[in-house]
Amino acid sequence: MPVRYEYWVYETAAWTEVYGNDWHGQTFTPGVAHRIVKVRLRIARAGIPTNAEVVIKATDEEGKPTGADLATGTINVLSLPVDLVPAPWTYISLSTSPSLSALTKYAIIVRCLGNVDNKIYWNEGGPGYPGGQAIVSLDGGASWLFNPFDFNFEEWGNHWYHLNVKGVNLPYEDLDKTKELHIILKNLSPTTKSKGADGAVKVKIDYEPAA
Amino acid sequence: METGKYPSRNVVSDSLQHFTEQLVKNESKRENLTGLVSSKILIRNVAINSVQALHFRLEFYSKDSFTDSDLDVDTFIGAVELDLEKYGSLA
Repeated sequence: MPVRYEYWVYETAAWTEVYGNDWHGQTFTPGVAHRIVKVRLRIARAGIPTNAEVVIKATDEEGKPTGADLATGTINVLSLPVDLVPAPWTYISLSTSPSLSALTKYAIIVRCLGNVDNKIYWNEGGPGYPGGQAIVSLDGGASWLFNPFDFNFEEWGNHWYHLNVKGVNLPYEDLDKTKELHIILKNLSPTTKSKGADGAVKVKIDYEPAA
Repeated sequence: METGKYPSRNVVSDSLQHFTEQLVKNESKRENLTGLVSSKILIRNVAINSVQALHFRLEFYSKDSFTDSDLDVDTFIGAVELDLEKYGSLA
């Protein structure tokens, strides 16, 4: 089950407006490596903005977003409240679950098409989160500036358990000659392995070609 | 089998494509991982990353016909226990 990793939870009466080329974000720094699967944001709406989404990005040396989107999540704007009090929380699932490295800064970005009457509000949480800060782009993500506060945010994910068995020294021959490794993974635990991201598994087999 | 002439290589599964199904106890999933540079190799190390700390067994077969519960001596090559419950650490 996903657990909460980085977060900043401090409700204030200040709200940032997101629409058009005004993209807003929050940088964060995971303490441990994990796969991010969803975010929870204190957001609301005015009118009906379109193409509303959350994006996860890596950051550059300055701590500003850079590179391709690591993951995106669609915001169901009609599910967002229009009342700002009490400040509401909304989960946004991500379409993919990229691995985030420990002690590396990433950014959660919120963007949408809209105008002054159709927009998303994101609750500001004052300053205080130690692993990042609020950021803003006024040109649709081309350039970024820092804001002196933190947004209310939570990022949720799954961590990896790891085991490396060395010295296996097992001769293997693919008799199909397809140069494939034919493997079966069996769950011997009483606990069911979950499907999808909650039960993700990755195996790595080191080998030497035989003469 | 002569080894050591070539640099070590690896094959890695894709967590978004492979082993994505639910598996109850003793249930298993077959996969054919591409990317071997030779059909005859020596497996040196086996590593696993898993969101859940479970006890797995990884079995190796010589053909994609596999065999399931009854280990067919013609195709079953060997297995590695991957007990994350006992020996796993946080990556």
